[in-house]
Order: sequence, then C-alpha cells, then structure tokens
Amino acid sequence: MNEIETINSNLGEGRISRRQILKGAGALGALMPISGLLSPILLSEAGAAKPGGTLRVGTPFGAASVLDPHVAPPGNQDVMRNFNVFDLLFWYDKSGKLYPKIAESCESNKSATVWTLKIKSGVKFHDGSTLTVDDVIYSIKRIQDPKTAAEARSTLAMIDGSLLRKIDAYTLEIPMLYPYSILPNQFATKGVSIIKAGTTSFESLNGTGPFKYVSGDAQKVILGRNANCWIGGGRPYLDTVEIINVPDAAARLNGLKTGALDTIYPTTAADGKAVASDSNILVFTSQTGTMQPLLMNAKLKPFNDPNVRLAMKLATDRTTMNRLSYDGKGKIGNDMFGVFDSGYPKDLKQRAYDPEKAKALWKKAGLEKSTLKLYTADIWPAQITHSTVFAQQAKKAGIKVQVVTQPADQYFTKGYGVQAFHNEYWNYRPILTLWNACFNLDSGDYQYTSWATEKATKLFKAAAAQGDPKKRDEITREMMLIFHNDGPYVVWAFETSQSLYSSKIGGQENSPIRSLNGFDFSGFFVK
Amino acid sequence: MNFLSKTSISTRVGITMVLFILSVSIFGSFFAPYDPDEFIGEAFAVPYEGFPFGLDSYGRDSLSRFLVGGRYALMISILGYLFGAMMGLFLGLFSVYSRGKIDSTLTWFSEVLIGFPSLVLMLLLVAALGPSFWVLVLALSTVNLPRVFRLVRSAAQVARESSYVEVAESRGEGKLFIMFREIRPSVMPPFLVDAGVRIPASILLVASLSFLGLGIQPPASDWGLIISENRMALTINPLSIALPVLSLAILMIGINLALDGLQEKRKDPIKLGIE
Amino acid sequence: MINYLLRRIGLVAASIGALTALVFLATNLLPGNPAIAILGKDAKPEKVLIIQEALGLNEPILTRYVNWIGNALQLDFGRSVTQGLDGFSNVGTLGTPVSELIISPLKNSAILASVSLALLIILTLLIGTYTALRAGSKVDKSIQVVGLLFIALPEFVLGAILIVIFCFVIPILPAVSFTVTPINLVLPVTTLLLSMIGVTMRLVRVGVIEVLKTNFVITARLRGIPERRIIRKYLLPSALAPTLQIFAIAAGLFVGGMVVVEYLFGYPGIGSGFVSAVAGRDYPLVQAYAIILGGTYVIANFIVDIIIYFTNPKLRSLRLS
Repeated sequence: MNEIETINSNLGEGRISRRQILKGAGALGALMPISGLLSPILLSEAGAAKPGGTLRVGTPFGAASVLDPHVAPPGNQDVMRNFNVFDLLFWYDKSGKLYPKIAESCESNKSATVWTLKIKSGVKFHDGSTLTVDDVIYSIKRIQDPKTAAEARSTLAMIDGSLLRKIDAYTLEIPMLYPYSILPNQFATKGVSIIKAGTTSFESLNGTGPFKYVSGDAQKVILGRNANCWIGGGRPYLDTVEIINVPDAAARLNGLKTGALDTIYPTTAADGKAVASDSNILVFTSQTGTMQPLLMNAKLKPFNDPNVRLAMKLATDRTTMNRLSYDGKGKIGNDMFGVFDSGYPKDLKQRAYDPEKAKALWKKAGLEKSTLKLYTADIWPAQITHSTVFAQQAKKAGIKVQVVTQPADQYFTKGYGVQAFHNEYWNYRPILTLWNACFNLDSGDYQYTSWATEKATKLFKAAAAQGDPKKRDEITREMMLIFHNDGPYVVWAFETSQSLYSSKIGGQENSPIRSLNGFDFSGFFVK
Repeated sequence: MNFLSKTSISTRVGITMVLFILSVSIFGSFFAPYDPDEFIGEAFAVPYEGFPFGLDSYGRDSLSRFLVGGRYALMISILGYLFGAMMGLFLGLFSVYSRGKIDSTLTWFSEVLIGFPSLVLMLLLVAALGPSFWVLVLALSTVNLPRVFRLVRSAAQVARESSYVEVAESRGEGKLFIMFREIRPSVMPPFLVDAGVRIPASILLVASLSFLGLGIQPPASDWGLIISENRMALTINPLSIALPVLSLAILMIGINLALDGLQEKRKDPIKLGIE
Repeated sequence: MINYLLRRIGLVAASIGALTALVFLATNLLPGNPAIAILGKDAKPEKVLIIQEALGLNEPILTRYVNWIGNALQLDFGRSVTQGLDGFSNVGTLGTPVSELIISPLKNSAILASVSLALLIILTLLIGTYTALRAGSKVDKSIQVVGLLFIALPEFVLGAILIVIFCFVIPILPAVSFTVTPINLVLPVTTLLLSMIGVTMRLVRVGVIEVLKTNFVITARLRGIPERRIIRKYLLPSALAPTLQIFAIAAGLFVGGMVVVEYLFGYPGIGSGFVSAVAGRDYPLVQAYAIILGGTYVIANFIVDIIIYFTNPKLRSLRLS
C-alpha cells in the first residue's frame, strides 16, 4: 500500500488521531483558514501519465434527461457528468481531508456568523469566460430558490442569500442565518455545482470542470477534454470519456473482460472474484466513509414505531452482508454515520446481530404476519446483494422481507423517496453536514425519512454554532447516540470501494468517497 | 392406453428423458444436502469437499439450489395447464358443437391469441399484475387456453359430424351431455399427448421469464433464475449453472424426441414445437 | 384480386384491433387504483397522485380505451411514467413521450430481425433441401441430431455458451452489443439463427420430402432432367411457399427469442426495452411494445400471404392449412 493508502486506512481504523490531521489543514473544523494549497491530488503518478486516449465507462443509466446540474441526478451517468463538467468549491482528497477546488479559501469570523470566501483567479469556463464570485452568487441563489428544486437546497439552507456581499471579483462575504461552523464542508457536497451566472437553459452545459459536455442520449454520454482546465499539471489527460449505458450486470462484466469497456460501475464482490485471475483487469480498492444504509420512513407504517426500527437494526446480519458485498473488507457500521468525523463515537459497543431480540420486538408490535417490501435496484455497488442478504437473515428473526428489484432507470421515481423501506446512499460527509441535509427540522430535507426530534434538532443547532471543535464533538457525539438507538437508518457497513479497470488504464487514486477516483476522471490516463 | 404399443424408440426415449427431469423437479428438494438459502462461503467458490458443484453468486450450495429449483416452475406449469386446458377443452367442444357464427368467432379469437408470442403475453400480464406465483399461473393459463382450444376443436370436428351425434340430437339429448359423451373420446388421445408436451414446455417458458428477472423472484430458487444469476462466472465456476442447463436441455430434447416419434406415425405433422 | 386484398387487410385490421383491446385490458386489469398498483401501497400519497395524473386514470375504462386508440392512430402513445420524470421534486413533470422512446429501439430491432431472418431463410432452404435430398443418409441423420441439440437449448443458455466460446476461450467477438455495429450483431444474430434453425429446417425438410414424392418430380427425374435443374426449377420454388408459411407461424417463437437474446446481449432493441418497461410497470410503454411485438404474427402472416399470392398463384393451393 502506498503512503496515501496507509494514511487512509489508518484513518479508518482510528490509528491516527483526528488531531494529527487537523493540525495539518483544518480538515473538519473551520476556525483555521483553509489556505489554497496546491491540490494534493497532483502529487501522485504525474510522471507516468501521458495525454490522449478514451475511457469507456459502463454503468446502468438512470432516466437520462436531467441536464440541470442543480437538480438531483436520477442516474449514475448524470452524477459522473456533473462532477466532471462542473466544479464544486471544495472536495475531499484521498485521505478524507477537505481541500479547495475552485475556491481558494474560506474563513469565518469568531462567532461563525459570517464567512469570507475567496475563489481562485484565472479559472475559465468552457466558453472562455472567467469565473468570478458573480457566478458563485448566482449558483447559491439558484440552489436556494425553491423553484429550482435543487438537491442541495437544504445543504445551503444556513446561508442568508439576500445578504451575500461581493467584495471584489474573487471575494465574497457570506452571512449565515444561524451560526454554522463548518460551511466549507457544505460546499464540498454533491449538487453545489458552480454554474455561469445567468444560465437558465441547459441545452449545452457550460462549466469549469476538466471535461466538456459533448453529447448525450439514452445510450451514451460523451465528454471531451477541457484543454484550459484550472487544475493544470497536464490534467485532464484523457481526450474523451464515454459513459455507456449497460443495464445488465453480467453484460457489464463481460464488456470489461472482452475489452469493450475500460471500467464499470457498480461492481460486486462476486465480480471482483470473477476477474481475480484475469491479468487484463485491475482491481483497485479503497476504504471509504460511504455508506448504503437501509432507510426507513419514520412517518409510514410500520416504521413509525421506534421499537420496529430497533428490531430491524437487531435483525441485520452485518458480518454476512459485509462478507458478500465487500468480500469482508468493508468496515462494519454501528447505525451511525460520519465515520471519519472526530465526533463519531468510535468506542460505542458494536450492535450485534440478535435475531431473538428482534423477533421479540417484532412480535410485540404485532407484525408477525406482515411482509415488508424492501425496494432496491442495481445502481450502487452491491446494492442488490446486501438487500438480498439482509432479507434472508432477517427471516431468522421471524421478519418477512420481500426484496423488490426495480430497473435502474425507474428506481428514483418508484422506489427511492417513494417507498417506506429502501436503500439509501451517502458519500462520506461529516456528521453535521449530513444531519443538516436530512434531519434538521428547520431546513432539513428530511422527507425521505421524516425523522427528526426536537431534542436532536436543538443539539444540532448548538453543535453548528459551536466554534470549538472539541466541544462540538461532544455535542455531535450525543446526537449520534440518539441516532444509534432511534434513527431511521440501518448503517451496516462503510463501503470498501472496489473498482475494476482494464489494465491499460492508469491514474487510479484512493477516494474516501466512492469508486472510480470518486468519479473524478481528470487523473486517468491510458498507458 | 393401447397407443403405447405404436410408439417408436424416439418417443420412448423422449418420454423417459422428460419423466426423469420431472422427477428431479418434484423430488429433488428431498435430496438437497444443505439449506439452499444458507450463505455458506465465498461467491463462486470452486467445488470442494462436500460441495461437488461449488457455490453460487451468493455463496450458496449450487447443488442444493439446483435440486430445489425445479419445483416452482413445475407447479406453475401444472396449474397453468390445468386451468387453461380445462377452459380450452370446454370452449373447444362447445365451439365445435355450436358451429356457425359462434364457432368462427371463437376460432378467430383463439387465432389472434395464439399469434401473440407466448413470452410476450406472459410478460404483459406480469407487467399488469407483478411477478408472483399466481400471476404466472394465470399467465400460463392464458397461453394454454387458445392452443388447447385449437387442438380440441380440430380433433372434435370429425366426431361432430358422426351419426352418433345426429342420433343423440334427434333423441333430444342436452347439448352438454352430447358434447361430453360422444365427442370427447375422440379428443382425449391428442389432448393427453398435448398435455405431456405442453407441461414440460411450460417449464422452459417459466425459466425464460425467471431469467429475465420477471418470473420467479429471488431469493427463491429456479433453474432459469440460477442461470441468470451465475452466468457472469462461466469462466470461474461453470458448474454453478451446469445442472440447470443440462436439465432444461434434456427436458427439451426429450419433448422433441417424443414429438418426433409421434409424428413418424401420423400422416400430418402435428404442430410446431411448443408454439 | 382486390376483393382478396381488401378482405385480408380487413382481417388484419380486426386482428390488430383485438390485440390492442387485449393489451389494453391486460394492463388495466386491476380493480382499484392502478397508480397504487404501480407504486405499491407503502408509497407516499403525493407520488401516487403524480402517477395517477400522468395516466389519466379517472375516467371509465371504455372511454380510456377509445381515447387511447384515437391517440394511437395519431401516433401518440402517451407518455412514459418512469422515464424523463424529475424524480426528486414534488412537482412531477410528465415523462418523455412513448413515441420518442420507441423509435431507436424499433430501428435497432428491425436491423437485428431482418439480418437474422434473411440468413435464416437462406440457410433453412439450403439445409432443408440438402437433407431432404439425402434423407436417411448419415449426413442427414447427423444434421438432424445437431439440429435437435440446438432446439433443446433455450436461447439464453445458447447465447451464454456462445459468449464463453467466442469471447473468452477464443476472444474474437464482443460479448455485449450496446451499439449497433456489424461485429456486435454477429453473436445475437447467430444465437437467434441457431435457436430457430433446428425447427424450421426440419419442417422444410418434411415439406421438400413430400414434394420429392410427387409425380412431377419423379417424372422429371425419369425424363433425365439434371438434378440441378430439378432443384432450381421445381424443388426450391415449391419449398419456398411452405417455408415462408413456416416463418409466419414461427414469427411468435422468433419474437420471443428476440426478447431474450436482446436482453442477454444488452442489445438496445424493443425486446430489451419491453423487458425493462415491464420490470418498471411503465404501462404506456408496455402497451406500445406489446402491440408491436404481438402484432408481428399477424403482420408476418399477412406479408407472407401477399407474397405467395402475387409471386405464384399456382402455389396457393399448396398452402398448409
């Protein structure tokens, strides 16, 4: 394992203390200014990379027609496209540290009520115009506008959009509606893409990202190299990226094996096994803070009963799910999130698979005769696998679960956010960022779980306002304890992302977020 | 059952093959060494001690899953046949007896239904009602009904015109009565033969649906489903699908051999495979 | 002649009409709220309303059917209830029109079907005639056995085996065909061919054997006419009509096979589109595909009848019943 991977795995295992990393560059806290370091991603493998070539990615498409990068992308191809055509202000590097992308720095005042954002100068959009804070203002306002129905609306809910003040072309003053101490993390969230001020139609996509949007239809999305990319150092190396719709998992694997595809997403542990002995295929793994919890809608039956929610958590055979989904290499979860966050209660006793107790609770709720439907699809890695294993093992607790598999292009209209029980997917986010998106009564977009309590919301507000990281961690810890017992997620493991590549592709990097370099294609090259 | 003596080797071999596979379907589950739903080990493990066919995509015993995998398809095929064929028999006799407009209208309807590819028809019903056991039974009944109708009708035509029927009619006997007593005997032999072909063939249809993910749903075990779930590992542990493939193949070969043999004895070719 | 044509067209129209009624009925079978049927009863009420509106479910079924037919005749098949929807917002926008969604798959399947059919017809005629001429010989028997083997294997198994042989053992062909190029067509076409040829070849063989027994051919041989000429002038034309008929009848099998093969190879045609629409209960899309797929038999028979009628009036009497 190279050095970066060692750090990352040590991070995951808790062998380095958060403090050591915090000293480095204010990863998860924000009292210290996050200065514009040279992006750490440039350090690796730059010597071996050569320009040119095409990367063909096989993935099942969602419904294809959403081009607006602020609206939640209903499919993998849209996520990949948005991430490469547009930029976020901040993102997480290979070791889980926050770093600035097109931002330069973001500092707050003592009470965390006003932030000052500086963006990099000289960043060009694909149409040649220069990035200024006007674009940032426009993007923030658009995301906050309810008419846009942006997925990151709750992510930026703490910003007072009416008081954004442009100081100069590259400096922006951002006041908060309430004290919020980790604003940069909010900017490092999917959906906070920076678009050109004044954009109202998305027939063509104009972003600052390493790739330009060339074309897209129900079968293929084509991205082309942005030669004037701000990243520099020769990136991006590839001339073209083709994202190809392959709904069938076996077809994807076959495509990779026969060279029709250069990489595929998602993959399962079984796929990894199926290609283990193939010398033309590279298997790349990294430990991420990404999770695929089982989501229970706390407003719909039977999950409105907290005992039922607890029963589900007890009926979860985490070890077997981990073994069959991640080949045992995932990190077992304890029904809490934000695993790299300093406020995560690492020491809490791991909840075990206890079918007897689960059965008792289930019976008490009078549900022995009912069948639960768990909605799933083949979109995220091992999604169907872990759902199937969960259902099978829940049977031992007398809980009947029927797994309903929907086609990838229909999961987001008929399963996700629609049904009472389905899979959820979160890239690594710090505790407060995710909490704010899902469980904050005031601004949270909690419609998927309808779970929020007054006490927890109070704690959240206090934590958000707390500038001292240690004190903040104490509060978030308490929040997590509540969530552990009462929350609407069964967090059974944190994903070991497994990516499969043709051996002629280089530039693979660890990502704390997900496979395929976290969908950042700027580092890939053809050997 | 005196027609057995008229059968050729082809038919006998064919029937044996079919019966063998049907027995595996029915009795297989008694011989399964392990719980077919138990997650035993790693995905696609190659055969080892105690597991002669290795493990499948979820680390379950391939052999056990195979042995258990014929039941549902067979049950659905039998039930789907019973409901469809009974209706088809009744309507066929009724149609032949009634002659005229009723007959031609019913015949026309059945031709339209037959023309609809059976797989597509079943998928259509699954679309409306979801892939559950009884939906599949209903879908199969819908597929079988017009085909049995056509068969019964063509077999009964001749008997319809016979003098026995004329006499019975003039005696004032009830329609129903005549239908069943006079016409049915000439219909029974081809009807039974058809049953013998149609039920195993339906297993294949259910397997195709399961393969597409729209038949028997996971984690239940079904041969078509096993093939679908494990085909990505053909180069790692091909034995995980060897048994279902062989069974379906033997089943089909058996049906066709049996049909061939029968055809050798007749002047007019019966019909086209399972369509 | 015009009478015949008109009658046939009328029959075809009526058949297709019956088909549409069947399809429409099938997808509206459930009592109660079909929107709940699509989403399941655990779904959030707001989402159910969106689907309900999209399907226009508030009127009686006969009205809906008539409206649907009326629209269909203007090539408006409604809108998809799963594709093109803005999945995350509460304000559901209506989905992509079905007529847009089926154009490309239709084209792709047409390519696959025509290539497969053309090859199938040629190969069937050749092999059927060849084996008929050598009926009973070793060659004939071995071809029969091979043919039987191919019939026995369901398309998905056949396809999977071909993939293993030609993509992995001897890696020369692509295993997936999500774009339509000549090389991507090879395996799907081969799979379709092999799954059908066993059946069609044998029937043609039987037909040709019958023709060989006719006085026509016997006297021609006695008169010393060279075998080649006999084949060309008498056998092939006589075999053509029943062959075409067989294909019309086999259209159903062919379509079923195409659905499975397209799914297996990831070929973007109406077969795989249909499977995916069914899986997602996208009713408008399911209806459109079902009619197209279901109508092939009727259309195929119609075309064959017309061809026979026009090319060789004499042969009309040779038609199988």
